[in-house]
Amino acid sequence: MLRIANLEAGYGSLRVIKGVSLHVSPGEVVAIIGPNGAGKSTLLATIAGLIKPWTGEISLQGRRVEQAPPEQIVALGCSLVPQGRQVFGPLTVRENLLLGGYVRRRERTAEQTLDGIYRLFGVLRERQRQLAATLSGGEQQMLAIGRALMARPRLLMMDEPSLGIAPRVVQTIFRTITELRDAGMTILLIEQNARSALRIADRGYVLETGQIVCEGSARELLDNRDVQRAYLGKDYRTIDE
Amino acid sequence: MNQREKNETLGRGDLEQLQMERLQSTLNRVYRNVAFYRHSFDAHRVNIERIKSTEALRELPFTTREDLGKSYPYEMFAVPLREIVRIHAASGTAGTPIVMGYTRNDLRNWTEYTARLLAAAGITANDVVQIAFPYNLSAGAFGFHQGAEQIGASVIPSPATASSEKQVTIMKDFKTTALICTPNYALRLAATLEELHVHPERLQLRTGIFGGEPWGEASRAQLEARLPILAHETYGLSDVLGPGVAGECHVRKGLHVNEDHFIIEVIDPRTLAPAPAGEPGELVFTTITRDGFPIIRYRTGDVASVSAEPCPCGRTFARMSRVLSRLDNRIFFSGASIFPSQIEAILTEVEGSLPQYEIVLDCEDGKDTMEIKVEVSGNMPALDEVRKLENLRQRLARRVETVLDVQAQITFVEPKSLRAQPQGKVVDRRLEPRK
Repeated sequence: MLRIANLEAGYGSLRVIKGVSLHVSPGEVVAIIGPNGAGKSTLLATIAGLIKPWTGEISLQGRRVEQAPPEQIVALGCSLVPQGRQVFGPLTVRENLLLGGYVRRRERTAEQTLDGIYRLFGVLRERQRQLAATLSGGEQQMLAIGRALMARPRLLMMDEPSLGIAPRVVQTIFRTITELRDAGMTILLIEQNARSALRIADRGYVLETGQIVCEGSARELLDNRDVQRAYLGKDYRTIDE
Repeated sequence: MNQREKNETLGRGDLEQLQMERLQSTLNRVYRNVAFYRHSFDAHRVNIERIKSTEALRELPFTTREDLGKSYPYEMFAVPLREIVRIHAASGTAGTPIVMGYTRNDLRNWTEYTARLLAAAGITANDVVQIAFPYNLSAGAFGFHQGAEQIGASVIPSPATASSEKQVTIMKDFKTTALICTPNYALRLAATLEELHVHPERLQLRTGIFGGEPWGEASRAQLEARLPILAHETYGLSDVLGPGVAGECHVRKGLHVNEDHFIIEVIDPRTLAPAPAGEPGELVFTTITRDGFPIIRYRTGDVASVSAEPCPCGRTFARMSRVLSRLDNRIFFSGASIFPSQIEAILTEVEGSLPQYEIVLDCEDGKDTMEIKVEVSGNMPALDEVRKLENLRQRLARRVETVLDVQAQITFVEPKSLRAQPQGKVVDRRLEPRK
């Protein structure tokens, strides 16, 4: 689905991603965990085409896309749910969602896709005429996910979906990710909340100062003492609890 | 089908991507956590960020058995000791052994890829597996044991220290279907079966899985003629891991290397350049999934060739030939390995200087035996000073047992009675036909 080799990227003269290689196979949920400033968001932004890489290769379903503009990457089936939701406040929920389906506008399938998203997030159907700015943080996150799904992606990239959201709503978000996974969606997920992310992921990578220092199955990473100490918190519980 | 089973049939492109990812994260970890590699890479002016493909691995320096010996005991571990859950050791070339540490994840991976080799050789949950390697500090028995248990087979730890009669009794009464040991040990069990007039048809045995020492097609033919088995070859790294690196599938034309965990290279041992594709050379291994004791470009001293030709079994992992020869004078003894240099070190230590000596290997009652013949020289008691000599003999024998974990018989011989051999002071009678 997605294959990245020796990717380098950054801002101005600041190199943030220092030779990262990773892959996501169809149907997999892959989590990228790591401390603040490791380059996780930069990595997703580079895959999404928002930042041009310095060197390295990015392939989506076998096609090289490292020079492609963001709209082409969305059209190729890779959507990003950005950090901090970034919904369009002055527009209604429905309008926000329809904007997400813009790349598929010729296919006249928007209503159908919309219906699927309303089934996934009932609250969005209830509030479809409400302005996005009036939604709670959790609802805005659901809207941001719904908006990305409107492009009917094969690969959904999520940047910190639990950030700044009430703990109870976080559970709902993760349940939704699990449902998407079970429906066959391929997901690349960045999370501060490493334990929750690894619980729903198949595999994971640990990114530190722009380099991958650890990779493995989610189970392996949950069992890895370095990962436990650094990202799962002191009071981590074992997964056999 | 889990991820690891999937990996066995990955397309080469996907496999190379996986290898590169794992290699890069391994390099980032060893550079951060292992002083030896940091110094070695810096001294060779290698920037690990330049390693952008598995071929670029060639820019990195080699790791030798001497390097591992110098790191005694834990210097090469990439994690703190409290994260290590298993420790094994192997003979180093000189005085100190090589100590291997495994984290919980390392054990899980090791179990999985050893299970994979056993499954490729046909072992299933229905098998009764008799493991006749030494159960001691060395990793051989344990690696196979875990792998066979993982498959769900009934595993019998039947250490090679037991007598051949006992092994045969177990084989018969416990209805062993698969035997795992060194090929020479299996040949001796075959001889014992013949001596005891146990007809092979009275056994349930059907599979043999062998490793721990080099052997050839002639031994395979002999084993299959004398035991009711299909014999499968496996390859491991006794110095740094144990079994599980490579093994034969049912096609039995080369050993599939577990390339999702190891990167194999073949080099010309003189020029250290890559050997031409398909040509024999020294095998060099890099581990790409180990947390506790990662190894970069380890020179094995084993000579073999590697083929990337697709295998009819469908696995996409490259195949190595069996080990054709060795670049050093390693002695394979009861499933462990010993270097003559270790025995020289003991003789020098006890006697003050190195006398002429000869190591005679033989087997008796299914067990490997070692006799060390030592010439009586000037600074030793003369042959007629019986008590002093006996004293010295005991000290030598004790020292050999302490250091090498091997019982050797020490024999003193007349001065100048041993042929002066510059090399190969080893006489191996184990391979000679039995009378």
